[in-house]
Amino acid sequence: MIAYDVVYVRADSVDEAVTAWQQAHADGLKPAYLSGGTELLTAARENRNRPDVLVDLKRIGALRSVTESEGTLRVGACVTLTEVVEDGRFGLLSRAAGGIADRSVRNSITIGGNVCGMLPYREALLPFLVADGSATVAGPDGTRSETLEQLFSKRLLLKPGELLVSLSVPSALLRAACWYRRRERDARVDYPLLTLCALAAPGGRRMAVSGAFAYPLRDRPAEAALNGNGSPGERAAAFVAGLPNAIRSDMRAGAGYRRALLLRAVEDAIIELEAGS
Amino acid sequence: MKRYQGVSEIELHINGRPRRVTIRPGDTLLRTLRETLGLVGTKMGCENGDCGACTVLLDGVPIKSCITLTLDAEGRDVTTIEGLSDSPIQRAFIESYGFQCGFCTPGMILNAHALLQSNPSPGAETVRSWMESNLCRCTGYEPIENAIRMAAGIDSRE
Repeated sequence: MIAYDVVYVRADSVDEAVTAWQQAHADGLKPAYLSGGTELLTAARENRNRPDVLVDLKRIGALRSVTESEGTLRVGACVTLTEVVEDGRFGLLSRAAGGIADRSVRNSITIGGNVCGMLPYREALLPFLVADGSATVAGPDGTRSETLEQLFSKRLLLKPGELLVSLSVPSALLRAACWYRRRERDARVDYPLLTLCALAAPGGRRMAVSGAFAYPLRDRPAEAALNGNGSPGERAAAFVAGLPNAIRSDMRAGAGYRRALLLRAVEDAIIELEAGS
Repeated sequence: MKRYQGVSEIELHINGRPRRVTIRPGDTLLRTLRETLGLVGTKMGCENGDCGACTVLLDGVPIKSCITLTLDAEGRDVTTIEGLSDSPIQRAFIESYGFQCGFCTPGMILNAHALLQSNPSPGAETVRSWMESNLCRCTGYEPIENAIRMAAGIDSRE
């Protein structure tokens, strides 16, 4: 439970939600958008996050569907991970979403909540990163759509009061050959030491990583090594060496172990994607 | 748009009956069920969304009520263990010795009940992928899987 007096607003439209956020902010309060609420509730219970006003997005119909038109698949921000897994049109997303938490928690967690939450893993974003995804966001200045290359750097670059409306990918990449691996320290239902999503697109192989870093990462310059010469092991080593980011070390695993998991995963991904091409 | 602040009275639909309850916006469904409505078959375990002892069905879908606001249940059908009576899955848990201390059992049964409602003949992998949401610290998982297979009419030797 949230052990203080929080205000709850159930919005029926994106405009209502943005207006409610703005009003709370203008009143000097700390508003937060609410979707599945799993992360927010556990953080609030431990006093790690104390929003004054919760603006619930879950009953906004426009955020609740997966649609495909004009060569683009759009996933509404309040679609649950279970719904994404069962939709199945974006196979890599189904696999990545299905690896998060457990099924009954996935019945609550939404794509938007996973991508915009405080936890560093945000694994549901990885398939969108490797598939040249885009995001549509709405806020006090209106609605805008941007590529994740523009809108994502360690986190979604949302302005104050903005909310995620949908994530989208080109339909042409939905069935591209893909590869997924998730490794945990102990139980499968745990935070990942490493999650890797790889996609063999017409222009070459791409990879996005979570768990190994303090944020999800796709590094396009480093990907050149994946598509160069040399054995899979040599290319994996070149790819990992080319990542400019510090590998994470914490109570679950040291950086050396995470690096070893990453190297092996990248090598295996190259081998299996090449075998399938 | 609806706004809730301080103490409010709302109507919930629980086990097929309308129930009026007084809540605060930050109340979880778990605490409302147990502390306001006396439906203590829903167990409080980790209160962190990990153990599954608090599992209830929301419109037939299993969720963890410790990480669900009571307000999320407004206008939706809530099923707790008190809403099942002599169901096939309950009988199968008894016949298969699918419980020992019984603390995790209500959540296990509701999750398994929802599984069989959506898939009357689930394979072993499907059973495991659903039931990994619930932890048991005493019986072990084999009798629980056997109970689900028995309720589904699947020979457990298959």
